[in-house]
Amino acid sequence: MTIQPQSSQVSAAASREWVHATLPEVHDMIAGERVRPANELGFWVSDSSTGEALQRARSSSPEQIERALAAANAGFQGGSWSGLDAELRADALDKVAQRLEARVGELAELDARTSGVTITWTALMTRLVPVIFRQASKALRSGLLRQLHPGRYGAVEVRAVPLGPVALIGPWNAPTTIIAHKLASALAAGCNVIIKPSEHVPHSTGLLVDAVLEAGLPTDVVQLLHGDGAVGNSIVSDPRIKAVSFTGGLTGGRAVAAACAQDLKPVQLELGGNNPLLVLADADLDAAAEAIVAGLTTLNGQWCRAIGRVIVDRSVMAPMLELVKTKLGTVRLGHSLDPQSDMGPLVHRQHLAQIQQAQQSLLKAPSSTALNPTATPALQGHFHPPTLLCGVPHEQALEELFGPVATVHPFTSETEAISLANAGRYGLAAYVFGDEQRALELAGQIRAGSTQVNGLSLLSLAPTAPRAAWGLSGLGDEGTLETLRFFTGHRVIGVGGQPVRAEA
Amino acid sequence: MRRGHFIDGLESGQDGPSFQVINPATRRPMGSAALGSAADVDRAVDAALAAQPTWWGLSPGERERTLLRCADHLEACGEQLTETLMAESGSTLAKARFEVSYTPALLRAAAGEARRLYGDTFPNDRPDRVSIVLREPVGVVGVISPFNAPLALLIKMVAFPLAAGNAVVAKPSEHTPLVAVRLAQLLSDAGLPRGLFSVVTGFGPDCGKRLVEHPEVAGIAFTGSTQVGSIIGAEATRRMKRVQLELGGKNPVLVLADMNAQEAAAEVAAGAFFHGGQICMSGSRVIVEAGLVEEFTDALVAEARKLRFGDLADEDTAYGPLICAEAVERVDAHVQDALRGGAILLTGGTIQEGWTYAPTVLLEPPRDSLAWREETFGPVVTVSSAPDLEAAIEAANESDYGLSAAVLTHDLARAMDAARRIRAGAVHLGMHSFQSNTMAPVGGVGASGLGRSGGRYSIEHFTELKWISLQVGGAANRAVT
Repeated sequence: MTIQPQSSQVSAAASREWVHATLPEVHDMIAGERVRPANELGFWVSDSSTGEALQRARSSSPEQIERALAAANAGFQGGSWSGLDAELRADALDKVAQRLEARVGELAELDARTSGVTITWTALMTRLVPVIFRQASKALRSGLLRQLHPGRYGAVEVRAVPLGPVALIGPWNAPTTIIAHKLASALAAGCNVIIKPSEHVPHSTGLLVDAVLEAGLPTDVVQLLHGDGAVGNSIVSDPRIKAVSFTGGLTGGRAVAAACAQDLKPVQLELGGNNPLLVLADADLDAAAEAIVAGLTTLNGQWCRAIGRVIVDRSVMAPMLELVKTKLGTVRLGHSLDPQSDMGPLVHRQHLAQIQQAQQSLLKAPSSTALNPTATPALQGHFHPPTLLCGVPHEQALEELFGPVATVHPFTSETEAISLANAGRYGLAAYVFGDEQRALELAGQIRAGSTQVNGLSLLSLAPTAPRAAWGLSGLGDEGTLETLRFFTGHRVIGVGGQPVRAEA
Repeated sequence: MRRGHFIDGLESGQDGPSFQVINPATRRPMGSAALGSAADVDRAVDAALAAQPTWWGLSPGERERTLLRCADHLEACGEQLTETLMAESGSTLAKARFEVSYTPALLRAAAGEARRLYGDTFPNDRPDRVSIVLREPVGVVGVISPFNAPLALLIKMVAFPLAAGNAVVAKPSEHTPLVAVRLAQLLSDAGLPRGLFSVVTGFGPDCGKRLVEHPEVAGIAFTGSTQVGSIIGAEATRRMKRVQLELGGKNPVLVLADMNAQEAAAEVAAGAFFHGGQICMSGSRVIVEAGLVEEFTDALVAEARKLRFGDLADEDTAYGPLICAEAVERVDAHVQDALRGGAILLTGGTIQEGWTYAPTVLLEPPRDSLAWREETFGPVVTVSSAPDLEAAIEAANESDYGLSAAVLTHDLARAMDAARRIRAGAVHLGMHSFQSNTMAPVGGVGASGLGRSGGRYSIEHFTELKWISLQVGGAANRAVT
């Protein structure tokens, strides 16, 4: 740490205003009853910016998990929600949206505090939460759950019906928005749900669940449980759970998929990536550099479509790195609740240690260097400056780091660029900067769920487009319609028909 | 404010080389002090050598009266020192006032000791002989005083040797030279004979070193870090000087399960965060008996967060800045090291402004962390849990230091049991580990120092015993039968 009057003055202002947070107690919600998760997890939920441990993380007990499973199942069988007419469910979702509109500020602050994502970003993302419920309501009203297919003896009805009680498991980088997407879709489908948010950011989901119940939905529609992967495993492997939607890391995703395989449950996995950003020789280097900085700093570099590898035409490598360096130098790394901060800390201390360790091991390569000119604030939070690593052999750079660190690799031909981009086993997102026509052609050759040309943004370019994931990046597309459909199964009902006789 | 040395009853060297004194609250110079050299120390020692025989030649009653007059004068004018204390050391108003009021109390305690330079007699095998033990001053005592309580700790190291008939040359910390010069001036004004108490301001490598090495300085009293203390101790001992070292601590505070968590937390916070933890006796390692840990840590965090920093003159201000940028770096390094090792930061861990560090509570520091092993000398308290008293005592003793300790419990039997078994110079039962008493023997075992200061213990340290045998009639050379 360096002690400079100026930088500590800035942090002083930050720490004075937001220091000493208190968090609401986490609670389980089981059949409309708020209960304290009975066990302790053995670590603390912390303020990512100050590093202060705020609350001992808690975990639902096996008995609480069983009660939640029983409630979700009984609720679904009772049909108080699943049997409701789609129109009425849509009305209820609108009411939830209305409740949530009043609480986006609270959600944003809770997420910023515990996840370390800056308030600017959490505010943007939590503003989407009511919108997500309204979109689900709108989708529901479009009649997509009921279709008539012309048949030989009259119309055949294809009903999309809820699969049953489902489990939703969320990540720590954008907790509210991701859980909200799964929840709105599952509710629209008519499922009763059990939610388990990440144990590191358990608070905002409680508010989300409160809003659902305050909107007057049946009390056994949403159950909330807390804990780590072990709790998640107890939920998803229970035969009463009929489908699972999971967002998180590869290890967790594989565990969920394995648990679901036993009962052949549909599972939706949204995992990570090691996403390439290609810079062609004729790219607008300033725009590319801007995108690289955004890729490293958005959600503090902890987002599934963040940049893992920057793949640059050798002829423009030097000027591009110079531009990135200048831009990184002006990034304001600070307290996540400071609206002036461009970037905040990593989510927790272990994650910081992991990123540091991974970076150190990548830098073992001879003549590798780190480009990280951003100043770190004088706070004890889990800060890591946005960093580009140059000179790391490409084959060593194919794992996901999930932090503000990307590697840089030169290419000399487009064939080489595509082969580098398609290396590795992930396939989530890619970015290409260059002459638009050429870049679009290359985009068609990259193996990824989405490729953005001459741009980079956290939000999808088209809200109704599916969010696709290939390879180790996931299973099943997400999207307003896609996720709603994921939680439903088809039931085909028709009238008439004759036994078919083989004709002589 | 530009001050010189105070040597032989006169301020001198104001026009010579000087160094800046930084106000830690503003981080700007608040004055300057004379930059002392070995020659300045020599002048002060010469003056002391000249003054000491006359002082020792006075009757104990006259020495007592002189010191009481000094006490009265400081009680009347000591208020003048408050502002300098605050500006120079970053003291809050309350802490500066405490030091100012403690100064006459110490002088009076020392004054009484002037009459109690007890000697001894012992029986002799020969009835015609008498053995007498007389107690005499060592001569000139060199004092090197710290920055944290620059007035109270200086006067303590000065008053008792004076009462014993010594002369004193002091080299105050380079962070806080001005209050020392003012003190010497005030004592001189009150009638302390010239040359008996001189102050040479400057740095250790020039002035401190000369003071320790000067052949005519017979005793050394040092309060400060273990690192510097061990050098001074070695150099002084090599020259056969009397040496008294009051060094660092990593003081354990045991909180037993019968305590009320709130009360225990308030007591721990008071002992740990006073003057930003820049007190050698600050309780920095809290060991809580199982069962009370969660409730206690919650209460301690609440106490830590209640403390306010700000304008030092404001009575609500609980703590001020650390003494210098290096101190902030050290404190932060200790916190970061503990966190890297897996400790949990419950509150604090940040620089609040300039050199002000937030009151910090760390849970379960690893046993190899700096925050557990080394003196942090800042507002950082660690909390560890122990399954029972046995384990708590074991943890308390897991330190190279052994200055002060505390046990918070209402169970007197367990408290005494712990007090006997904790390795420390002091164990305080039912209160925190930072306690002052003019008459108490203050000092530590292990890395915490050598010898004790306060009351007759200081007197014993800075006097020599002389065995006098007296032949009463008859022949001196008669063989013993």
